[in-house]
Amino acid sequence: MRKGGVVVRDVDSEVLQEVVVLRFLRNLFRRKDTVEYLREAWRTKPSIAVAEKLFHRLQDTGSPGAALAFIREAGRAYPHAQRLRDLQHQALRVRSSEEVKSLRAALAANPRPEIYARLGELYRYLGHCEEALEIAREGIARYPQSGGNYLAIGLVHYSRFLKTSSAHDGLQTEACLRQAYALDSASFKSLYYLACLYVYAGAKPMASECIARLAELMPGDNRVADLAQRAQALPDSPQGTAADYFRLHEARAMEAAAGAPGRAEPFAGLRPGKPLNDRLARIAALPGVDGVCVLDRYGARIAGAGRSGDTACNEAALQGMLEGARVNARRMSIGNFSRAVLRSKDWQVFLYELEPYGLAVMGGRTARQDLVQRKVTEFIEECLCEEQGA
Amino acid sequence: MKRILKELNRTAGIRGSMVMTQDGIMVAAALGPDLVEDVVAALASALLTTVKRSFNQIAAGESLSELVLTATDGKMVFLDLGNAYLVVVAKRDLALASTMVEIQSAAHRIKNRRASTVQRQTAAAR
Repeated sequence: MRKGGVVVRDVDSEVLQEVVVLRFLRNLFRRKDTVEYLREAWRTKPSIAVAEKLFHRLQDTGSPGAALAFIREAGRAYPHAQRLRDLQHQALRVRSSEEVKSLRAALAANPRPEIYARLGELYRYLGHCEEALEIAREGIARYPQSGGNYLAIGLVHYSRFLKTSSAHDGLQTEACLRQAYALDSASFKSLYYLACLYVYAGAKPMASECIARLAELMPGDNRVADLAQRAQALPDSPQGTAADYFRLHEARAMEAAAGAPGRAEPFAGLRPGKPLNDRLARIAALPGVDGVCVLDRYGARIAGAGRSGDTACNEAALQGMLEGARVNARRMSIGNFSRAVLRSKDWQVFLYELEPYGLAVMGGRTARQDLVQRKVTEFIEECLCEEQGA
Repeated sequence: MKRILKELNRTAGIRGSMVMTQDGIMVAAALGPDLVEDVVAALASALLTTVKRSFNQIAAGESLSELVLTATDGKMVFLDLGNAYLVVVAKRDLALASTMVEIQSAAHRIKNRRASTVQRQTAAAR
């Protein structure tokens, strides 16, 4: 605007215009994957896809705590979304790994019984059962009066018992959890898992006894009520020791597994279908990995991901390797086969026992064993969690 | 060769080791008191035969160079030495990542030893 030869700027309108232009440009060039943008999207139009993107973004920006908090929130919003549950496990694993590092440092500086127990628990959660047992045993040797370490060992055996139904693991779980409870009678966790063990093995009298004590410890607790319901639904059986129940459970599981076709006591997490294939696809996506497949006890492929080549030929070959490893491990008195790694100049095959399934990961020389191991552990945990309804 | 195996057995967690041909004939062994040499050789050969045959189908005829078998009560490691295999029987809690270096080093020394013996024999024959 020109007034008497002097340019008078209408400052207010210009500023306003600039602001509008800047806002337009910002919206135009704004990155659609920033944390702020995704948070806004989650607030205005929440979906599983947005939750997943925001979770990964938070993890990439170095805020695992925020990522975990967010995925928990998202999990509450979509309680049946399997993908979000998987991500929550992933976030918990990241946090657990970091906690392991800090606890290891704390243990070196100032060893305390709680640190051993917590480390044992974390290792178990991360699927490193040997490390969990080792650290907990070390804790027991140093602090025999601390119940936490017995609890950690008991839970490792409990996980195994759920997987293998072996009476030995059942007995070990019982002994460790009882010891943990004897040392700390206020320990809800020891008693709770002891009750879970009895319910799982069908030992109704023992389960009822534990549940009654749990109800005294935590009156009105939902978990105890659920457990009581499950115990109530168990069939009445003749009195016997816990060992009798574990042996009976093992015998039933073996009998069921021997029935053809397939198995009668399914590892529910391994139901063929898209979720299983998706989980396997995450293993197949690892660098250097060519293909992954799960075979049943008769060598039939129930799920797979990645390149498979001549499928029938591969299935037969993998089944041959699995059976060879299973039979010969037992013959050589080194117990039951759990995993094997086979390498040649350019090839690697990783075999895992999933009782009674077998998991095979095929890859080139560049496939990293530690990454495969980690992903397979995650896979097994997810399947177990799904089976337990966690 | 036995000395190398004995040295290898000093590594924590290793119960015994042996060198055997692919058809199960024992070449040298330093196994603990609870392991019978011929039985381990026979069983290891059976395992290798089964597994190698299957592996060859997938790996398009490549020969198996390493096999690590983990079971509930122990581990077994097989390393290819050319015409023979080094077999190591270990405890379940053996930390393989660190021990593998020792095992591979033993395998390397056995291979070198065999190579130098063959050279000496050839030179003597000439």
